[in-house]
Amino acid sequence: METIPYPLRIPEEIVTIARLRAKEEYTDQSTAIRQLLYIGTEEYVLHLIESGRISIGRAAELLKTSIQDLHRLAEKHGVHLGPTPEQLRQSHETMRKLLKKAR
Amino acid sequence: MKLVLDADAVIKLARAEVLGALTDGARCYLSQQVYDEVLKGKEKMYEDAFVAEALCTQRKIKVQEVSTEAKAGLGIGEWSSKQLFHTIKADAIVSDDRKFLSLLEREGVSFMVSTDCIVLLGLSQSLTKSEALLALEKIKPLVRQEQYRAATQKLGGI
Repeated sequence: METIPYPLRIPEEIVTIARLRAKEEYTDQSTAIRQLLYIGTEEYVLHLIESGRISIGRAAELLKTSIQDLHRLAEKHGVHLGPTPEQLRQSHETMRKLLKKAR
Repeated sequence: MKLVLDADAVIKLARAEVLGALTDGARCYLSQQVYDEVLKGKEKMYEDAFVAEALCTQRKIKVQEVSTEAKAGLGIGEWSSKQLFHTIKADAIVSDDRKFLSLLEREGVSFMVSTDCIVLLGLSQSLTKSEALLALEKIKPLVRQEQYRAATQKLGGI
């Protein structure tokens, strides 16, 4: 993933937490802050998919990850991605038509 | 019956272990872009990616090039699936993605969710009832509760 410099003021407490994470993960503080930012972004993107604002394919492109990884992430966070009740109803109609065709 | 599958659907149906059964009863198509999205899972050794690759190599699932570009909110895989649907005059697109299905609804494109695909296999006797219920159980963590419940009811419950 490409990075760009971005001016940002960060609460001191978050820097303290990032320092702790940096120690635990054997990394530097800037990397730890980026990791925390990424974790928050992943969770937010899941909610964008869940509410139908972006597709799972677009989310995978934005996060530079695979759809399988997004499925795993959704499972981890207990987020169930899927259609609206109306979409389910329409899917059922299609299934019935295809079933007739198959028989 | 001609079906176009998006990456989300391919992965779920492979995980449910019914992708092979689906290709026995229907002509299944993927766009090249969707195929590439699914195969990305091989980097982390996701089994579904290998299953899909094997079925495509055996030509049980056809991979077709379509030229398209991604627009707001949807990925290149979803756009290319819609394009492919029109190109090959398919019967339906299989997807569970709410954003993508909204677009298909607006454009009057027939679609079916992954769980209904499993129900279809059960009701057409490509799978036994218990095999279909087991397949649904395997993807239960990946789908909405209402979706899972509706599918099991259509199959006559557990």
